[in-house]
Amino acid sequence: MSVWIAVLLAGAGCFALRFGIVTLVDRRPLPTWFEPATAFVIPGSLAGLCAVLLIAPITSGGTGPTLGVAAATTAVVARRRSSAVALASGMVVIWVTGLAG
Amino acid sequence: MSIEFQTTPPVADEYARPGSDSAAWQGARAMLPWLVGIAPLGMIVGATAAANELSVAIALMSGALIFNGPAQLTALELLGEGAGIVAVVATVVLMSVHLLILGSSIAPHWRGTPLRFRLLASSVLIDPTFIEGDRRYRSGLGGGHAYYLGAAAALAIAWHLAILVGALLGEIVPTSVRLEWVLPLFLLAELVQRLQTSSMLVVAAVGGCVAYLARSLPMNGGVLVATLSAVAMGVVVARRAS
Repeated sequence: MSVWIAVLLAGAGCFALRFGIVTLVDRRPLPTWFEPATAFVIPGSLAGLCAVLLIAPITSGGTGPTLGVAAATTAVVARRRSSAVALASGMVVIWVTGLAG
Repeated sequence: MSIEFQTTPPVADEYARPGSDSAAWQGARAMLPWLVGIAPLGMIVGATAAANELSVAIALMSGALIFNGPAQLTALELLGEGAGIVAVVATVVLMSVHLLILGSSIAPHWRGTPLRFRLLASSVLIDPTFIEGDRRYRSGLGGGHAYYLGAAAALAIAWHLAILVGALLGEIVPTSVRLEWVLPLFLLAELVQRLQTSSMLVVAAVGGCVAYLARSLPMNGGVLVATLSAVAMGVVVARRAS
């Protein structure tokens, strides 16, 4: 029973965060600098996630894809502008290097 | 160097326009590439629940209520280890604090919408739905609300299916497939597509460096600190440019 209660309360907490901020912003005008700032949320958070998920495991001696795989993925997406194609390319490089290694 | 922002949120009843069905389908289709990267994480969540001897129903309910992969993963691990309710709830909430940034960013587009829309839309607010919704709202193409809900529906269905598959079959996929790297590489591809101005390059550089330096902060706090730092730098750079 405590497991169900924990999940229910955790879900309620997440919903309070989501709906609370939306309601707050709905009722109060945002400062003029805020909306332009929101354009930087996605690139900032994506860069942070990539640093944590890709670079940190490599430098700490983990088993992550090499910087070469990340470079290949970057090169493909820069040329093709397609995340799916770039992802497929990166995974192929990982599998090939895994087989070679 | 110039940056253009959409300063006028869409009208409140935009989702009721004729043709909004197609916008919903467009949103669902836009989510498809994301699903390739997200499905493995959902399967890991399901497999984690099974490994911790938690029922499939618990795993699925965590998906419906928490709807945040890393937070779900941590919650299921904690529950499996017998952690207390307070510890689980506090951890999940802390790991979801970045939702405040997403919510405050997308809320101006939802201003004036009916309560039922904001209840539904905010309940499925997470990084992929925010990114796709924000992209549509800023494009000025209209149908943003339907597009957002279509993308969210596709994500929610796929997310729960992935959890179910992971809970039932999680042990079958061989580790040599390296599915754990699908999501990071996909996020990298999404990032690169957004680096089209020098401002964005600076923002990404700051976000990456700060997250790397702060990676040891508890509860994934490094990414939150990195995002705030990057946004602050972006504002400074944009002001200087203008």
